[in-house]
Amino acid sequence: MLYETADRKVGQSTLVTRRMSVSEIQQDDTTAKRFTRTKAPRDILQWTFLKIIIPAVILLTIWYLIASLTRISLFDVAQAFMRLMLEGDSQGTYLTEHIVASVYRVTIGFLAAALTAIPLGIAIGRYRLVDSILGPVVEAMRPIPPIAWIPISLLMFPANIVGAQSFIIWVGAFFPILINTTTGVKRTELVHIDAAKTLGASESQILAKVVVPSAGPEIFAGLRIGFGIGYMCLVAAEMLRGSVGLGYLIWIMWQVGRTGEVITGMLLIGFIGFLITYAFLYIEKYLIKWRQTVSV
Amino acid sequence: MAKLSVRNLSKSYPNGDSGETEALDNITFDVEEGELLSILGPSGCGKTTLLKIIAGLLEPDEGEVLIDGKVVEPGHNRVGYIFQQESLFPWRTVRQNVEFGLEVSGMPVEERKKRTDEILKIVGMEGLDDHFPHEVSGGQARKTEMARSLILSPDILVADEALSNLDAQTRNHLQEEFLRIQEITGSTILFVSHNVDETVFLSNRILMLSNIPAKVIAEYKLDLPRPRTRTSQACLAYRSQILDVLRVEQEKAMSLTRQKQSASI
Repeated sequence: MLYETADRKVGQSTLVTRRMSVSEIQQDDTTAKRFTRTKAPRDILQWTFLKIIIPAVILLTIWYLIASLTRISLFDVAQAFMRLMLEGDSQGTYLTEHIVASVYRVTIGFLAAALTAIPLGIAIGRYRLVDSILGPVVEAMRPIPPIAWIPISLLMFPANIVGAQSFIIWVGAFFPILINTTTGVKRTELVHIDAAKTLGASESQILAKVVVPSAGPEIFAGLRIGFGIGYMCLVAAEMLRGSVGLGYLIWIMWQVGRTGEVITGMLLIGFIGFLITYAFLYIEKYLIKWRQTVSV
Repeated sequence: MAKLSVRNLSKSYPNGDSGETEALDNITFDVEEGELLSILGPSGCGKTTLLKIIAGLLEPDEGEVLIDGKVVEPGHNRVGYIFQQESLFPWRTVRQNVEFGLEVSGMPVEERKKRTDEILKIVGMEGLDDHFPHEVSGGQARKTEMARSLILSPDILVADEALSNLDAQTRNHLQEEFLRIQEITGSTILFVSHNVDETVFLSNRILMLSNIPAKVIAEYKLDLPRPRTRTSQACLAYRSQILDVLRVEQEKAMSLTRQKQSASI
């Protein structure tokens, strides 16, 4: 059935699709979505092979090599994974609890970074005065690695480990988002701003309807990179203190010599990061469909 | 009373090391209601500066701009502007681009849609309204820009070399479209160009600017009926007359550069 529909639609332009009646479009909605990705059954096969099977084989090989160097087989890792899922670690904390704790912290830190860095980036990018005042401040703070903030963060949030860890993530994610937003805003074409002015837009409308959408691709790239760095910082921050989280899990298991659990923790960190990054790319592709350079 | 009056406009730009470049030198002219006035001049003669001052995007050093006899301040939006380079918002569809002016004015969605449908039909872009700018041709983009300006019924529409980046065929077609749309909307148009053929085909009147600093050096009133034939005797006569004056101006500019060069050596 799927193949039949796909075949029927091959060669039809999007224009033709547009002229179909509403009910037809709704009917074809699910197949149409698939259709935009893959054009024919053969392509589906080719796509699966290129984008799923080959990367999976490469990944497995790499992990097999790493595991064998540590004299642990992938089977041991799978066993460790099951044990963590079903019985939990030595304190009885289940794997899912570690995952939830880590995702929660990275979400808080990342949202705080986005909510502070985007407005500030817009202000620096759009107003020369703000740029000349805050630009040097930013450049002086930026070279300090987020991890170097860990001791200070523990002093800043003495009784609040989640606060300290979220702060580290905030430091890590803030600068990439800020720099990208600033760059994007500065790249707004003057002709678009002039056009908006002649059409009667006020300064706040120019910001909301011209500057921000125009800088959208850069802002989104900043969010994606900022998330990646914040996420890395999280693992480091969790290793220092606390009693839950994937970073903590890796650290504590290393101390007691349970390499299988260490590798399980690493794989999960990678997998969650992978899922979130792909989620970003898909949202990006949808929001920025007017620019044809984003590839997923 | 003239629709638009430009009074004694002068404008200089600071330039790198040695003082200022004078772009406009005491420019004065009027545009009547419903008229299509072309401004013709060599590239880089300050035409864009002049238009930006009229549209309120730049402030003049001296002089003033009057619409319907009243001085307008910078930042007004009574002038529709068609820019030299493509200026559609690439993140908005054709419809959303055309709607922009109504949207920022806070018009209700229903009425916005009705007005947008009307204007899209006038410029011949109906059916392409959900395309993004990168999905339409250069000529269609220009028509969309016209619609985006005209939907606000501006007092004056200014077009800055609006057709100069198009291929010859599209340009001829759009010149006719320009006239057709002007007939429907009754707009007052200030059309800037360096293309003599184009200005003779379109205009009621042509002003010629000198090299910078730009001054008005000649004015032609074209009493030719429309539709005009590009190759008619009358059109050709105007063209040769204008081209002669332009050639003299060009030679003046070149000898001036030569003088400067020899002086600097």
